[in-house]
Parts: sequence; C-alpha cells; structure tokens
Amino acid sequence: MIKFLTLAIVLLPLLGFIILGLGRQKLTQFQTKFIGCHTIFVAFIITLYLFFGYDFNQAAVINYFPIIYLPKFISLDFSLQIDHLSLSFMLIITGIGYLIHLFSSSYMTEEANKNYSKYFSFLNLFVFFMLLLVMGSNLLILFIGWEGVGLCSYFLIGFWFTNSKYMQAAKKAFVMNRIGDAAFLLALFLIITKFQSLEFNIILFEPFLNFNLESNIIVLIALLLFIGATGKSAQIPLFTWLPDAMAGPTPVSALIHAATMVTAGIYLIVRMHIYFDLAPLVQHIILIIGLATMLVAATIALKQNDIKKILAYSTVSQLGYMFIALGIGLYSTAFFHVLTHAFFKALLFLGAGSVIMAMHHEQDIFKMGGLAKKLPITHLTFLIGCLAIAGIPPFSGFFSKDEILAGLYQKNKLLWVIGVGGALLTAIYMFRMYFLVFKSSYKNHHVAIEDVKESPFPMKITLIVLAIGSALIGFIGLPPIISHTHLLNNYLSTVIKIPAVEHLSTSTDLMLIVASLIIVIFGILIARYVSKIKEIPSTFVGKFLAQKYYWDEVYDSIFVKPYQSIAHVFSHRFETKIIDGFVNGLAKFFMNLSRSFRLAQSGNIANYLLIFVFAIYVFFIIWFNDAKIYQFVINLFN
Amino acid sequence: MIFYNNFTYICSKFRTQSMNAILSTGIFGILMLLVSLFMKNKRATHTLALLAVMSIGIVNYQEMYNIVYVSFPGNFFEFDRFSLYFFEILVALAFIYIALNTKSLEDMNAHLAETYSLILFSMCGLAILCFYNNLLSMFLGIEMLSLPLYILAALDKHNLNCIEASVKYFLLGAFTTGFLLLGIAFIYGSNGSFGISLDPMNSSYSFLIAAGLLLIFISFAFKVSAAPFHFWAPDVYDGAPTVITGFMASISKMGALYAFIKLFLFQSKMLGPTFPILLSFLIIASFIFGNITALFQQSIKRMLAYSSIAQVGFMLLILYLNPNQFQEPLLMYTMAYSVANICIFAIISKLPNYSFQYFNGFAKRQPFLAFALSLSLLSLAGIPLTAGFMSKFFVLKELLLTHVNLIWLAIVAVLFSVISISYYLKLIQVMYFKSPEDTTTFSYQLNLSQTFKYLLLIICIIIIYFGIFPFTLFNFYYFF
Repeated sequence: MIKFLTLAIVLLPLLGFIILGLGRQKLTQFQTKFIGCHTIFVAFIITLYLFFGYDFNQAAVINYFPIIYLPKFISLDFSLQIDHLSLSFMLIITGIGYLIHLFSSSYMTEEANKNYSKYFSFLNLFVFFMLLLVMGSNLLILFIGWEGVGLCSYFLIGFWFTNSKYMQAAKKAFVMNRIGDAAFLLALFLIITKFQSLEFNIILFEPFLNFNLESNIIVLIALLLFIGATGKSAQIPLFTWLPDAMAGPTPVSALIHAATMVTAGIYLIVRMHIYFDLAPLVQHIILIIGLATMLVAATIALKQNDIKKILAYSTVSQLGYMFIALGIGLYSTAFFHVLTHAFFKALLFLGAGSVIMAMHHEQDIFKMGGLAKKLPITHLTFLIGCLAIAGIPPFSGFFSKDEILAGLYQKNKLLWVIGVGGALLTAIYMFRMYFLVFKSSYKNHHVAIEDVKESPFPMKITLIVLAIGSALIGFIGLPPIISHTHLLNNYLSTVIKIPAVEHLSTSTDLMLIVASLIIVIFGILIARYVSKIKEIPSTFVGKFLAQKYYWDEVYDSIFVKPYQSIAHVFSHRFETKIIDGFVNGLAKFFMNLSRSFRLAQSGNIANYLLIFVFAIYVFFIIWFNDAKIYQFVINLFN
Repeated sequence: MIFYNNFTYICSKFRTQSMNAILSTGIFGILMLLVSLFMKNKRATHTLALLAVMSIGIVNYQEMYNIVYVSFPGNFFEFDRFSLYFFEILVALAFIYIALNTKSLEDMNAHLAETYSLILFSMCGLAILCFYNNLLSMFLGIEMLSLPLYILAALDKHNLNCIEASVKYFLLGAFTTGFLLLGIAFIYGSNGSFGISLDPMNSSYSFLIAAGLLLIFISFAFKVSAAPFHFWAPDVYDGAPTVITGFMASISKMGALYAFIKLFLFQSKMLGPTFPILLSFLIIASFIFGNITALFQQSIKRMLAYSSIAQVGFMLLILYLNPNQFQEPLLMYTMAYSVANICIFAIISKLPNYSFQYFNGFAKRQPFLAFALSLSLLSLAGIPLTAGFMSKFFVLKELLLTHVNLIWLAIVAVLFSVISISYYLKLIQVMYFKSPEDTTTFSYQLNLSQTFKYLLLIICIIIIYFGIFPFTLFNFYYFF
C-alpha cells in the first residue's frame, strides 16, 4: 500500500504536467485550473494520510525498478525513501505548493488559455521534480530532482520569454546553478568511487564504519556538496541569480524561489549531515558564508525599491540564517527555519503579488502607499508576515530565529551580536517596505486610487491560510524556557542526531530573547522614521548598497568579459581555422579513401579470389612467426 | 504402416527431449516441400510457415526447460542451455522476419512453399550450427545453412543480377568450403578424430592441428563476411532479392557467428600466441573496409552490406572474451543487430528504388516508415536508448573487464563507430531534411498492409525496450 501511495504522490504532479502540456491548445482555463490544482491537492491529502496513518520511525525505502544495473561496478535503483525528514519536506511542498497553485489560478487569469495551461504544466512539473528531490532514496534520484527543479525554474523565470531581459535572468539563474551542480556532480563521483553506491542507507552509514579512513576525502565530499548547495540555495558567491529570478510570475517566486527550491541545498546538507559532522572545517566555512550572505543580502535589501527585489534579498538573507544553523550543527533548527520561512515568505510573496495585481503591475514601493484601507485582507496578512519574519512573538519566525541566535550565543558571543544585527536589518527593511506600501499616502499618478481593488476570493483565502500558518507554526518548536518538549526535534530525531548540548540557563535565555526583541522593535521604529523622510540624502554607502555592492559588475569584469573575449578568439580563430579545417579535412580524407576502396570491389570473381588467397597467405605468414615482427606485435598484447 | 512406425519413432524422439530443434526444422522443411505440390493458396502457405516456425520455437522451448545438458551419442551434438536459448532467439527472429515479409516473399514470383522450405532448411543448418560438437556436424551445419542460401539468392529467376549474385556466392562459397574441408582433414589426420576438444600437448602433430584450425578460421571469417574475406558480401547483398538479403544479413549471419565463436572461444589457444594478432587483424580490416567503403555508396543496399561488414568487426571482439562471459554480449548483439536489419530490409524491400535520391523527403511521404527506419539505423549506429547501444556497450564492457591491455582496440572500435554514424545519419538526414528534387518518381504507390505497420511498431518497441532494460534478455536465459 505504501508502495502505491508513495508512487502516487510523485506521479500525480507528473500526470498533471503531461495532461496540461499535451492538451494546452484545447483546455479551457477552468479545466486547467481544476487539473493543475487538484493533482497537487490529492498528493497533499495522500501525504497527510501517510503522515498520520503510518509510522515512519524506521525509514521506509521502496524499490521500484533498476536504473543502472552493473553488478561489478554500481547498481542504482529508482527507489523512494520516506522518513520523517522527507515527509516534512513533502508536506511543505505539496501543502504550500497547493496553496500557491490556488493563488496562481486567479493571479494568472490575464494570460491566454494556452499560456495558462503552460504555466500550470510547468508548475506541476516543478512539484514532481521537487518531490523526487526530497523522496529519492539515493543521491541519483536526488540529483535528477535537483536538475529538474533547476530546469523548471529556468522555464518559469523566463515564462514571459518575449521579454529579452527576463530571458537573460532565466539564463543567469540556469548558468549560476550549473556551477554549483558541477561541484555536486564531483561529490557524487567521489562518493561512487569510495562506496560503489549512492544509496543513503549505505553512504550515510559507512563513514562511521570507516571512521578514520581518509578524512580528507570526507572533507572534500562535504565541501563539494556545500558548493552545490550554495548554487541552489543562493549563498555567496553564487547568490546573484536569485534577485534576478524575480522576473518570473510572482507565485513562482513564492513557490520556487522562496518556499521550496532554494531550500533544496539545506535539504541536501541536512540529509548528508554525517559528512559535515565529520568535517568541522567545512562547518566553519558554512558558518562564515552563512553569516556573510545574511549580512550582505540584508544590507542590500535596505536600499531596494522594487517590492519583489526586497523580498528576494530577504530570502537570500533568511537562507543565510539557515546556513548559519547548519554551520553550527543545528540541523533540525535549520529545518525549523525552512518550515517557518516557507510559510511567511510564501505569504509575503503572495501578498506582494496581490499588491502588484491591485496596482496593475507596479512594483516600485515608492509608487504605492496607503493601501491598508483599500486592501484590508492583504494588509493584515502582510503585516502578520512582516511580524513573523522580523521575529516578534508569538509569530513563527520568532521561534526559529531565536533557536538560531541561541545556538550562535553558545558558539561565540560575538557571532550572536552579528546575528542580532541581521535581525535588526531584517526588521528595518521589512517594515520600511510595509510602511511605504500600506501606510503613508498614495503616490501613484498612473493608477487612480479608485482602481485599486482587493484580490479575488481564491487569493484571499490563500493569504489567510498562510497567515494562520505563519502565526501558529512556530509552536511546534517552543524554546526551553516555555516548554522542554520540542515537537519538531522529537519528530526529526529519528533522522537527525540532535546534538546533546546543554541548554542555556533560563535567565540567559530570557535575557537573549528580551535583548533581541528590543532590538527588533527598535528596528521597526527606525523603519517607521525612515519611511517618513521625504528626501533621503544620497551617500556613498547608500549608493553602494543600492547598486548591490556592484556584485554583478564585479562578476561581469572578472568572469564574463574575459570569458567572452576568450570565447571570441576561440570561435573566430580556433574554431573556424583549426577545428573546422581539421574536421573537414578528415572527412575529405575518408571520402577519398572510400572512393579508392570502392575500386577494390570490382565485381570480378577472379580478383576476389586473388585477394582471398593473398589474405590467406598473409595470415599464414603472420602465424609462421619467428622474427622480430612477432616479438613486436606480441608486446602489443602483453 | 511404415509411415506410422516412422511417426512413432519421431514421437519417441520428441519424448526423449533432445534434437527437437534440428528434427523439427528438417521435418517442417520437408513438409513445406510436400505441401507445395497441392497447396496453391498463398495465405494458407504463409500461415503454415508461421505455424511451422512457431512450433519449432515451442518444441525448442520445451527442450530448454527440461534439459540442462545432453551430449548426443557419438559426440555429434551437445545441447546446453545457452545454445538452446540462442536458437530460441533465432527462431523468434525468424518468426518476425517471416511475418514482416510475407508480402515481399509472395511478390518474388517463385513458388512460395518452396521458398519457405528453403528458409526452413537453412534454419535446420542454423540449428546444427548451434548444437554441433564435432567438426563433421559443424561442416554439415555450414553446408546446410549455405546451400539453401545459394538458391534463395537466385530466387528471382528472371533477374540477371540475382543470378549473378547467386553464382558468385556459390563459387566463392565452394572455394571456401575447400579450405574448410582441408582444415578439417588436417585435424582429422593428426588427431584421428573429429572432436573439437583439441589438446595441443597430447599430439605430436600440433602444428598440423593449428594449421587446420587456421584454415577453418579463415573459412568462418568468409562465412560471417569479415574483411579481407568480405568481397562476396556487397555483391551478393546487392544482387540478391532484398527480402533474402534481410535473412542473410541478420539471422543466418548471427548463426554462423555463434558457430565461429563456439569453436574459437574454446580453441583459440591451439592457434598459439598469434591468435589475438590474427583476430585483431581481421577486426581492424573489417572496420576499415566496412566503414570507409560504406561512406561513398550511392545505394542503400550496398551501404548496408558494408555496414554489416563493419558490424562483424565489432562482433568478432567477442572472440577475445572468456568462455563464461561471452553470452551476454552475444545475445544482446544478436538481438539488436538482427532486429534492426530485419526492420530495415523489410522496409526497403517494399520500395522500388534503393538510391539515396529516392529517400529525399521520405519522411513526408511515409512518416511512420521513416521513423522505423531511422530508429533501426540509430540502433545500428549505437545511439543510446536503443538496443544497439547496449549491444556495443556490453561487448566493450566485457572486453575491458578481461583484457585491460586491449583498450587500444576498444578505442579503435569506438572511433570507427564514429565514422559509421556518418553514413547511418546520412540516410536519416536525407529522409527528414531534404526535399525531393523530382516528384515524378514517386508516383509508385507503396502497398502496405496495416499488419506490416503494426509489426514495425512492435519492432520499434523492441528496439527501445532492450535499449532501456537490456537485462530482461538475460533474465530469460538465467532464470526462466
């Protein structure tokens, strides 16, 4: 039964993709909506059934069919694995995925029927690959999903492909991801050469068995996996694609570039955490990269004007938090933040989508304002999202961020200060956006304030459900000062070894929480003040941040330009002269040879017999060896 | 009464469960010959032929299930599981072949039942070649295989090209038979027996045995059309009726190849340390002659003839393997190569013209035929996701597992495969991307039945299926 249900979860979105993809010329919007949403919904229901109806304390590995079967080298099966980690991710993917499908169904109605179907088919395909990614029981299936989500991300960023700028963004995302994928592949090859397998239950067990065997290799594998994760999860140095990826439709940003795909890197590291535990060096690197990304992205977000760009940088910054948690070895905390972030960031993006739709595709926050009265539900839910991400109790972001900050405090007090600094920045940029969009006064001259209307019902209901989730989901991981049973940690403890660190004393814990709370509230006040200033004096720092640290420009001059000039030389000189000349010359050579060989086939039997006898003669000569030729040729074979 | 006695004798033979394949092919061949006297209904003849092949398959299958190892009295035959399975595959291929080509065989203007009986006799030769355990039975098998083929090549009696091909084939074949007999005589003379388990240390005439084996080697190389003994192949393949070429290039060739492998895989040590050199000489010559000459051909049939020479080069790599590992590559190669060739020849036998020009824009006129043809060509070229890729992969894999030092030969094989892609793809390119220059030549209407198309579809599915799940082919051998 589990075998069937598990396969059904994976195949339903694929089925949706096939139906919508093939029938995109014929289906009406209603049919598309119905198929696209319900495949995911049924998958979600089945996932819920598995969650409540079965006990997965032992990971269930289900084999379907062999993909590669080479008994002496490696055998890989198409097999899925369900344990508490993948089940949690599946709930996020199908649950939030369903809500976002629902939201899209009214968000995308302006599209032609054909494009509407295309959009939903890609979205379904994305869910399929994402499910493969988290459900695969070996790294190969994970990798298939990993590449597949990258592909779908490419399709959906470039959904409006007639706009060449959007296509550029899609290409950038794809290429940046490839860099990480190359490292991931290298890690796969290393693991194959070391373990002759990619199955989790083998490769995640073996390091213990051979504890002191070549720790360098394990460090290398962990490092390569981490580089792979930086590509997918938009960490320094491969983060610049994510803000550009906002070119896609807003629900896509919510689903792929906030809630699910970008957390694939975190999933990978959590899944492979044994390697990282054995490689403290890599953990330090992760911590540093996480901190740097968190700060850089948060500072850039301070000076952005595009509502989606701010959210994108905020996503990068929150991913930085998750990597911080991974760097200090708090894997379940990282997942906790993934979970809460999935809720509140999906909520924020969809809220932003609702605003953008109401404003007739205006994304500049300086051309909005005072929308609170016009869009009451969007306003309320967006506020909940902002409170959640800023970390105000009892909203969910508070609990997960608090766990990370407490972990940082235990590691090093200075790091805690940096972490809280990030929280301060988060509060400032989020509430700057909030005040500029929903409070203050209406500033748009192109769209009359009367035209601004609240979104239709499916969008509202999605926002409300996500807002409730953002508000309440944090209670599954209560901090130790309130309760000692941490539901999430208990649940994940079957997969992840929860480090048995001693808890901080209650007074310290309380002190930390209060301190961070005060700082966050302070940040909100700053944001309120900043949003009211009419003219912000332009400073060097401000310009530097608004230009995103000139990060793209630096990459452009270090990598892109030299690469293009080298490519130019190769394509105009090397390719046309040397390669083409060589290949064409070779082809010409063989054609001429062929022409002369053809003459041997004279059609005359006497000639054939002559050659025949001559060949026999040669064979016998070779065979009657005693001379140097014999020794020479023998050496070839030994 | 005599007939009854004979019948019970045959039945008792069937009950003892050995020689089923050889007996049944022979009996059905004779039966078809008798039937030709009074049965004029062509449809009934087709059905009878298909039933005959099917029953051969069934009795052989039965034997395969009940017997693991039987050595026939006098060491004439040996029925081991692999040979039985291999023959089973040949029978299956023959079934597909006949089912696909009923119409083309009918159009041959010959007596249909006689044609079938010749094919069945030739199958009898294949059966003997699969099970021989003795130089004498081997010789018998080779001649049983070849003689009907000489006649089949001249099936279109009024076509001078056919006659020419047949005579050439016969002359060259007879010439080779002389060498074969000489080789057998050498071995018999020095060993005093026709047995194929030769022991060089025991005999004082080991030199003669080796010389005899070398002669047999050469005549086998002729039979499978390996260069430089390949000259008959292009002429005969081109001249013979296309339907018959389909049979010669697929089933009969693979049977001869198995006989070749069976003898030399176990006896290669007899030829001394030079055997690998001779073999590589043969293989590389086949690659060069096959691939390079195929590049310049203007006729599809000739191109395929040369490509089959090149493929033989690849197949002969199997001779380097150990006796316990040649099975998988051979099975895979037999399946992939024969199915693709049967499909291609079945299609082109329906066409009036074999020049490349005829195929200009073929995909627009006959999209499904063009698809099936392209798939088979890709399989021959060894493009992944087709059975052909898997066959080449298994050969190279087993080769490199046994002989790491032969990696240069593997590289040569792969490089020549690259050349081969160029002429296979040329036909696909012509079919899909060229527009016909002259439309008048296409007034010829192809007469295709619906069954033919369904069978082609099945072949396409087989090609792709074994390209993805090659192990099902071996699972039948190992487990069923």
